[in-house]
Amino acid sequence: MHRNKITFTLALALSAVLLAACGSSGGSASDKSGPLTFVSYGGAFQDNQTAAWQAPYTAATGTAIRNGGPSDAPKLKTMVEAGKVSWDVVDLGSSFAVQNCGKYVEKLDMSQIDASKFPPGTVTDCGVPAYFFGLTFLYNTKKYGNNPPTKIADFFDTAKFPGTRMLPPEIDTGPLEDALLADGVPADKLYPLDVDRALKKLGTIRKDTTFAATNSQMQQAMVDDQADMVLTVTARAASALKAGATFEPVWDKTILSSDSLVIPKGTPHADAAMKFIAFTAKPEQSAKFTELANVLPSNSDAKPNLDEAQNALNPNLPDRKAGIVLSNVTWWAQNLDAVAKQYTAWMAG
Amino acid sequence: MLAAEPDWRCRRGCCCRRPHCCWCSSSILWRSLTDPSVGFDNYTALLHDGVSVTVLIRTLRTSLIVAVGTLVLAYPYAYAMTMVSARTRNLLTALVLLPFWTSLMARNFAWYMLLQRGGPIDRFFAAIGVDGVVLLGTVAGVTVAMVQVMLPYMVLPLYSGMQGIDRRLLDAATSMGAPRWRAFIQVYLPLSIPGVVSGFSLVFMMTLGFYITPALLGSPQQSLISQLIATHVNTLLDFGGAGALGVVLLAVTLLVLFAATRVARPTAALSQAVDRG
Repeated sequence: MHRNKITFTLALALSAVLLAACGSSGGSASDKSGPLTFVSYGGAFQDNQTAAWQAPYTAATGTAIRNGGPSDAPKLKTMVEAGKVSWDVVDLGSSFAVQNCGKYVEKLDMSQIDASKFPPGTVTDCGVPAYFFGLTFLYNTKKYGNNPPTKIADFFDTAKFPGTRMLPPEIDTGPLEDALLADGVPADKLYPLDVDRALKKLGTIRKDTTFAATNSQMQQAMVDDQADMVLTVTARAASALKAGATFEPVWDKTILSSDSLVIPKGTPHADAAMKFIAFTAKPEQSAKFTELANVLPSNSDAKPNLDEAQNALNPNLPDRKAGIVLSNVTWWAQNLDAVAKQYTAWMAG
Repeated sequence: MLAAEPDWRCRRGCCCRRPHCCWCSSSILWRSLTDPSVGFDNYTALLHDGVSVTVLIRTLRTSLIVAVGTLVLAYPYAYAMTMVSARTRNLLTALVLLPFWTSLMARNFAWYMLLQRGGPIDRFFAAIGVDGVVLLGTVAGVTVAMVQVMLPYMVLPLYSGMQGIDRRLLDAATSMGAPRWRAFIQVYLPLSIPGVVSGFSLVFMMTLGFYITPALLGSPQQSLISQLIATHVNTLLDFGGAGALGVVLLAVTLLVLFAATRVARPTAALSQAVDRG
């Protein structure tokens, strides 16, 4: 009798705890005037976004902004499906915005944004590029100081340049494009991508390649001399160089992609989020973020002041501009799932 | 009356006692059968995508190697624990439990530093003439780290099994003319089987689904099933496929558990017979 009472009470307490944990509410704000939740990749990167975008916005309009994260596409998808959206503005790849427009992401109010200031084809119904970043080819000067690689084909040439390679975790940042360019495909004939041909080219360096699981791992590998040649995004390369990595960029081909700030579908603060996104799209904000974070400005009117260290990784300089290849956001939006599946199968097989 | 009642409820399945576990498992099962369309599409896709079967076999093989490796290392340790004085035993127990008091992440990062290019292991092997021993990003590296992580889970069941073995049986065997090694193999070893089986199955099942060590120390090229599930969720946004993989993993685990109980039963009966006699 006594034992049954204890068991019953314990069971009741346990169910209460588990019910609360399993059916979590997520703390979503129910009032429209609450603070905006801004979600990005975290760390110094998000701190820079806070300084460049959030602080001036809060000063100008009084709307408080809270930081959350890190950005997670499956989490956003789950939130929208469950109807419990607690994120208001999310920094994700632009192809996500195109792919899920109207389904997981709200349409933008284009009257608040001047679409003509952005590169053609990059502004879509649900996404405006917040910043651009380039996939840069870097080599370790400790290994190749005397005989540095000069073109993208050298990344795939393990005979002439033996050593370990490292590829970025996100397939849509440009490694497939680089493989095709190295294989001889002209830049204007890249899309639609011949994925089989790109994977075949990657297969030639496969046994020397580490497929970084995260960008932080790639950064750490650069600092620890674990990799000899890497393909990585500008901001991460800058952080690695600042942390002491002895790498130099090769200015042959740089694949330019963009991230967009999206509004998850069903968030109660959609209007406020839209105003914030319109604010970040202005040239001053674009320039300020570029200066802080070593990305590339999206607004063509932006005139960032970059010093020499920051310009070291800037592909927009006159002598390097010709090597820029713009990633096709629409193609990636339509094909990312299929390509990711094929790439995963190829990589794990 | 606080007598030990036969635990028939537990034999039926854990769901009755764990409503939360039941709900989450069934929601994964449900999703795997209905997302994106109702049916066994996700399961047939697993068979035909050329990756999942390879990864599953690799995971089973790795788990087997880890379990055998921990058994080989843990058996002498547990045996020593039964032989020494109480004070030394406390020290040995504390050493085994020490990993539980440190963060798993800290241990994995320590392995990261040890296994990387230019790390202590690489330099040691370079010093004795074997170059390029970079275990980071390989299944071998993951196996080595997993053995260290799983060692306490093998030592403790082994010790609790060995603790119940009456050492006088060995004396009896030697008194009847058996050499020491034969007494050990024919008397001690069979009696320690229940402990071995429980430790082995525990380590095997835990290694099957372990995520952090393979994710940190392994590579996507040689991924284990937990990494594949994570890829399905994070990169491919394929919740149905991830659910199907999860269900397959659960099924394999239950199979192993069932097999373990089958193996342990005759030897458990042997131990009981010895206790009674």
